[in-house]
Amino acid sequence: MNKAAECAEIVDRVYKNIAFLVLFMALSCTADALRHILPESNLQILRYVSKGFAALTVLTALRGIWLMRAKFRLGKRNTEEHESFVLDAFRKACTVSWALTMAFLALADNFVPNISPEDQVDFVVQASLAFMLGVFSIAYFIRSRSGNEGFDEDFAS
Amino acid sequence: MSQELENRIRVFRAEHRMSQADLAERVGVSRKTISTIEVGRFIPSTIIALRIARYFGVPVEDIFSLREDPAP
Repeated sequence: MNKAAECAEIVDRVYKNIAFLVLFMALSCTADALRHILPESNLQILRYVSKGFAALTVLTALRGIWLMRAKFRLGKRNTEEHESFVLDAFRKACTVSWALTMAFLALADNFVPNISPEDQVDFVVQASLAFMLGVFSIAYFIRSRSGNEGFDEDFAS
Repeated sequence: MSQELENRIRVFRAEHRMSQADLAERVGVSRKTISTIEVGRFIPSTIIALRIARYFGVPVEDIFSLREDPAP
């Protein structure tokens, strides 16, 4: 495989890796937000869940660094101006996530639980982050799913 | 008037006896990008369209064209 094509494959894997990283962050934030509204008996479990997803986020970030290293090893010329289906899905997921998060924030007042003001701020921040990151990753995975691409017939054989 | 981008990449691939992976390598994109362009899920950038046309040695209009619905 030549350098440009190899780089394109790596770039696709980098974006997929970022989407997984964002999904794990969203799940970690969801667990943190739920700590404010669920009974205290669940706090310990939610703390473990949050830390578990935070650990997965770090591992995914490390994999991303390893992929980026492989990308830059191919040379600067091959790492510029990449257009791909995966990048397009990534951009569209960003747009959907931003738009829906704005709507979520506009309506957030209506469903903030009756808790202390300090906890309310923490809850809104965690819930908004969880919503934004969760919508992004779901939109990305739906948009970039396989299944409608035909198959790679090898006309040479 | 609704328009949709049609392409003849699969035809050209068959003529040149090459797989999507082969074409992706020659054009410098990922295989998924070629496969999604081929089935119409992804509209390629001008640069990718021109690279594909240059590889097959034909004008870009021979590979990509707009399908127009007939007027009612």
